[in-house]
Amino acid sequence: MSAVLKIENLCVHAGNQQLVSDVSFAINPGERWGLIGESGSGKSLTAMASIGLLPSALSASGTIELDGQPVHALSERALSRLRGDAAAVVFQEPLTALDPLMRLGKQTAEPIRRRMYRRGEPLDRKSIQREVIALFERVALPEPERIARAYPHEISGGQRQRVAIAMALACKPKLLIADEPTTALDVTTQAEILDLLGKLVSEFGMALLFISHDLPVVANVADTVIVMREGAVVERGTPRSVLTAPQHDYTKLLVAAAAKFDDALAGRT
Amino acid sequence: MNLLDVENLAFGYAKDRQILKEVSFAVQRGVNVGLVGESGSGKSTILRLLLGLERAQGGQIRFSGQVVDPKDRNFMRAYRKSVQPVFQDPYSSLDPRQRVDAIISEPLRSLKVDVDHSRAVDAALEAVGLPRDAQKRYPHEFSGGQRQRIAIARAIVSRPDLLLADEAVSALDLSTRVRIVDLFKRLSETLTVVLVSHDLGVVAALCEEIIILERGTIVEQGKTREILAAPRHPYTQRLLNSIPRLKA
Repeated sequence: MSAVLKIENLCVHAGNQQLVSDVSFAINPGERWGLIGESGSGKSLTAMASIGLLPSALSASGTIELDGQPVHALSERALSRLRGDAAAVVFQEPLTALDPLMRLGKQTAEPIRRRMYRRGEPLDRKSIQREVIALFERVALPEPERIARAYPHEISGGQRQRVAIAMALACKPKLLIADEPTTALDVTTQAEILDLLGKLVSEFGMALLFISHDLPVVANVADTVIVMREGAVVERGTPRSVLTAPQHDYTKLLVAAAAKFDDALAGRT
Repeated sequence: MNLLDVENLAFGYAKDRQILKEVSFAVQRGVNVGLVGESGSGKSTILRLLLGLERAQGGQIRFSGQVVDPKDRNFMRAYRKSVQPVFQDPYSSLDPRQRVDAIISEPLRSLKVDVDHSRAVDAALEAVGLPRDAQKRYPHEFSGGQRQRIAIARAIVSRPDLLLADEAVSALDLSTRVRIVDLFKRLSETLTVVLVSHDLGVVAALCEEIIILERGTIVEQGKTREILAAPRHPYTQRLLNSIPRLKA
């Protein structure tokens, strides 16, 4: 089985400063991976490097293969084509990820149109519109027709994140990268979105790379977790092994921090 | 006498859209209170009313028995010495062009507090666990957690009785969050903290009492331990069930 994303010895530099050092992992189709780390640990840079979206001031070395193609060797045009097919991203803050001046239906139609164009399917306005509504229904948005006509500011934060997920699904990617997709949301909305993501990843048969600083969140979503600190991978394993028998001091610290709030909630302190 | 009494507080930006409806609660000296609710529940509006940044359309707030009246300038000056805020985002709540000592001593200057400013700043820095040499540096030289410590130092420099913390640890990483909650806990030996948060875990770790707000109304309030052990209102149950746990 060939990996959807294969990263080998990835290093990211900003001038002389090394931001990501020697990161390697491979995600096979249908697998769910979680990337845990705090601000500045290099988790988002690793994800952005994997789809060729690093800021131009940063340089990367090592090899990244996305759907079998070498990301670093591709032209921007080829990369752009690969991104929709192979991987799509859901970002942290849906208010900034969505275009504030474009109706939600229109922005969701764009990746559908691009996908159809790439695959040589006939571009028919009505069928695109139908697919937008179908996608909005898949992500459990209420009144999909109304939301398709609405602007981002007219709906709630949770609904915006559902639209962003619908846009990512519109590409029918092999890998969904979710970069802190619930950090900006309320706790009940977070639970709904996590539930939705889990379901959709299974239904669409996608692989998932879920990035978060919140250990319990990642542990509930992923089958394999990677813990990053200061740009390097310090631990990897199943959520159970990482949570119950953390090896690295930093992982121990994270588990202890999460356990502290868990204990407080259970009245154990 | 209670430190704070809030009685039938009502507020709305439009007549047909009330943000707060008849909200009443009391804060006793030395008992930390968590105000919990989701976006739009009105928890930050309560904080703005407590800070005197908005005027209530109904009801009353009393601080140590005295009515909080934003129009009474003399009272408000004394009130602001006693009630200080800490905001969510330490990246936007600190002036990037001021050095740390100027930021921390700002309440002393604006509230005309008659103490030795440099000694007060030293004491505040020590209380939040920052080195003395932090004074001459700028906010951008510090991490998120350290910046929040600076914001807390600014809040405690006038030796307030009450700290109003609006999601003060929500923007921080997990391990930093634990350290800042520990700091609040230590500070609450000498002052009282009202923490607004959507994070029940943080409230459970810091506050002895809890108030759960849903769409501008208090749906449950009481001892944190008891409410978390046996939440009665469906909304509280939903909040509690939504929290991702380690032992899932």
